[in-house]
Amino acid sequence: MLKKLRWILWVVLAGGLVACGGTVSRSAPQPTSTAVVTAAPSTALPASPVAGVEVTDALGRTLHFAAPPQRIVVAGKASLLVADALYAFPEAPQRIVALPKRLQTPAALDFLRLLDPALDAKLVLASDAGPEQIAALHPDLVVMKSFLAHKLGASVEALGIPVFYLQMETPEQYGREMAQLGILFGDPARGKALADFYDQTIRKVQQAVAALPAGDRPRVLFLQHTVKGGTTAYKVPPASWLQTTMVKLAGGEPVWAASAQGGNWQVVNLEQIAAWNPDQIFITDYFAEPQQAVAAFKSDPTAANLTAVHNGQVFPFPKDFVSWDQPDTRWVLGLEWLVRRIHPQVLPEVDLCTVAKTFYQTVYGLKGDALTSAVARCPDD
Amino acid sequence: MPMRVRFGWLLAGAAALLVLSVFLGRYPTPPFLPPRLLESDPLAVRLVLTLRLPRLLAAFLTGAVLAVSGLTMQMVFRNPLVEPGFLGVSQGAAFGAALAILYLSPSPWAVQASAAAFGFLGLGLTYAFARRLRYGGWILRMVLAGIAVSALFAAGVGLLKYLADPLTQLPEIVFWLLGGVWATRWANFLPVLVITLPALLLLYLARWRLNLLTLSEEAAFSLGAAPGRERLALLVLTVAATAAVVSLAGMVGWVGLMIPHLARRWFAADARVALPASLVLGGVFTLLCDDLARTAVNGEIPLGILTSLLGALAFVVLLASTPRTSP
Amino acid sequence: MNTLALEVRHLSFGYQGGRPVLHDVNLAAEAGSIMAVLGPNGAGKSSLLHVLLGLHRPWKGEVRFFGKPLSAYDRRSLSRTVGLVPQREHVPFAFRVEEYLLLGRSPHLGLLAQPTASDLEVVEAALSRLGIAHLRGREVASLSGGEHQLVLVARALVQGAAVMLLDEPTAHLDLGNKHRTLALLRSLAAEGRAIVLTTHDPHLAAYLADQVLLLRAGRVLFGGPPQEALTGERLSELYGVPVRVAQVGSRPCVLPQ
Repeated sequence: MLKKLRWILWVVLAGGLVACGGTVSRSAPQPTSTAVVTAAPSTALPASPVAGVEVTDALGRTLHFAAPPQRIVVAGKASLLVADALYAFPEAPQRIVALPKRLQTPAALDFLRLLDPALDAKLVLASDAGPEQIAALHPDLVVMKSFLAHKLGASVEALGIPVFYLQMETPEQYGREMAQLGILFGDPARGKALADFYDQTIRKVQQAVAALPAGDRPRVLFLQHTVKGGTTAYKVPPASWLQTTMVKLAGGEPVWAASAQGGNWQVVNLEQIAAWNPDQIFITDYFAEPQQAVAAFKSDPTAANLTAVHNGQVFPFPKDFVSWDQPDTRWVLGLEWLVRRIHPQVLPEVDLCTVAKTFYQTVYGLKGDALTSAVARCPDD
Repeated sequence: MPMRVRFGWLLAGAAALLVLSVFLGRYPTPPFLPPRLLESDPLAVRLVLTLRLPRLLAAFLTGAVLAVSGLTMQMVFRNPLVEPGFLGVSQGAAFGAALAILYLSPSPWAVQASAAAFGFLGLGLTYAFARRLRYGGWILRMVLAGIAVSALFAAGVGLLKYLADPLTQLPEIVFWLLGGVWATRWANFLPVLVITLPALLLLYLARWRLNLLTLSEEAAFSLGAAPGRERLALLVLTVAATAAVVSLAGMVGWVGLMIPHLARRWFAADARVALPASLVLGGVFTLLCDDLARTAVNGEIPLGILTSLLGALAFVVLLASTPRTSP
Repeated sequence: MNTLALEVRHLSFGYQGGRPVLHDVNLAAEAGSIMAVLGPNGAGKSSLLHVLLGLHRPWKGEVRFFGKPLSAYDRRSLSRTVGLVPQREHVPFAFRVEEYLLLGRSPHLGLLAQPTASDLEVVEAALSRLGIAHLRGREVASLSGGEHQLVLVARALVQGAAVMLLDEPTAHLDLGNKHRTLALLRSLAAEGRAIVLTTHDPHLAAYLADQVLLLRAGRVLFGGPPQEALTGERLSELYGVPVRVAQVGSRPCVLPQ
């Protein structure tokens, strides 16, 4: 009996090697020309909107293309944030040919479908896809986050396929990398316009906050509410992350920054929160409704003694397709909202849906039904 | 079938598999790359030369080193139930590699050196604990001590995971725990070769001496060996080679345990035959697993998962069939 | 002048930090003779063998093989001179008898050398000398006690040692195998080897030995020919219980009182 088992094992092994092909679609179109562009030596061509594209990526490397890449593949982890930035350009739906299958949440995909009706056919890459899967799509450019440079990026580049790295995790990076993306798409004017949009918003907030007296910095706590296996936990982000930066930009004092020195979300318990006793608490929830998280927080008897709870200063962080605190294009919406919560008087009060509408019009060029659908998800205030 | 002929078949099979593996993958479509594409498609040529070739060689080398290390350790410790993964070597090496990635530099030399240092530490700790335990025979003591030390280092890796940035560093570290050779390029493969080839050569030359070292201390001594020193020297070689492949391929388990048993079963317990047989069998097995890993699904199955799955299954089948007096 | 194969003078030895296990031991064995070291359990017999082998360094005293002190031998030449036949050996792997015997050629091969055809011939010769050529392909672990003992002796033969140390060689053997082994040892000694064996069985000493050494608690009570050593008083002192020696034909027979 066991001898048979051994034979079965070998047969299964051999069969597995051969029989895998059928399910994968053979529909990946063959490109008309294999535009495998390698980083050619610089010929000092001025960057023009049509030909001779030269861009600098997040790692400071310069890439040269004879023409804007036409077959862009988005690969690697944390690619939602990359995709959202790319789709801010109207050329993106024609040029992006493949994305990873599982972007973070289904809602995010709903948004991208508004921009790219052919999206579902492009969701082909596994999130841990290797260089071979990427090469099989015959891209002339691969875009990924910069932390992947060491492994995945290097392997793809070894095949002669250019890789463009994005980081987009701090306010400065946003402006700069948006402008570079514009050049990459052959639309530098738009790239500059987007960069300006971000820069202007940041500057507006900074100036408003700078005008306040120096000591007027409410103590703010930012929490992520998570439920894992039935256990509720509240976590704070590392001091170097965008969430902390946003709180500072918005004129708050992040109470957790001194102790959150790690590289990951850190769990805090209610005692620690009580020890900080912040003036305001903002709670975000990536997988459920933040309002419910806020209700759960306020209902906890230990939390009742907190100043913030007493004064009704516990707020859910807004989100629509993506939570507005993440390093995604929408973080600037989060900033606009946050500054008006922390310092209600410095900037004119606006309706969240109006802000969202302006955002989607400016950044994504949405109109008509698409715009309505996008704005329909805007959070209540 | 006489031993030489059998071994000849094994070598032929290995060569055939190596050639076949060049054409297995997901480009342009899974599972097979048509050979004529190599003439028409420059990307295919580049893929084969810069990615697949170092990758297959790395898979083969990883399996060969782990199998030979497993065999050597089993004979040096006179214990058929050990492998580098059980004695804290692989986990120590993984911990050292993760530590280097987080706090030192990601250059392959630094990672290898750190992996080797902690691999030695792991083995040393296991041996020291095994000497102190008062429960059970030698075989049991080593396995228990090995479990404890492996758990210690696993906890260390867990701590590093917690401290690591989830986007940039954590996936690297998780990679160590699951194993994989998909990121192999010539640049990180060649430094590993520099360590492993001489080690394998020396172990191959010492294969008959290994038999001698399975005897008791007195008997080996009476036959002219310096058992302590020679065992230590062989262990140094195995740990260095194991740490090198762990730093390249992460933790790939069960190869070091199962392949020597298979080699002894199909060939002989005599290390003159069992060692080269383990080398080739280990390479073949791991290469097969890697072929599956990159071809079977639209993603990469971590190599360690496949070797554990298939290796553990094969081990159970091996042990359960044909009762033998000794392995 | 017959250089003594083995000479031990004023040997004292103990393990690290412990009491002495051997105290002022003197003995001398000629080539072609058999010496039996007789003593109760824990007398230090195995330790004596290990010191003679060079495994441990004595605290005091000297061991000489063929006139040359033990410390003057390097490991290889020592292993070509002195061989050990352990009592039993646990083999964790499925070695076959001929592979196992081949290990006896280690003293003649370098660290990274492989055995050659001439080494195989030596193994063949030993197999036929001991009449166990039919066991050639058997797994060592599957051998019976008697067969295993013969194989261990064969390995010492293959080693080519002039001095053979045997640790309780017949302890686990039945009567038939015991006698076969003893006859073998006789003939090996007759070929010029010096054989030193430890035992707790006085009959074995009586039957086989040219010299008997009585060892109790690490001290030599008496050393001499069996007729003188195996007397009632001496054996009673050795074992700490009263014993009586009777003669059955020409052989002594030791009985508790």
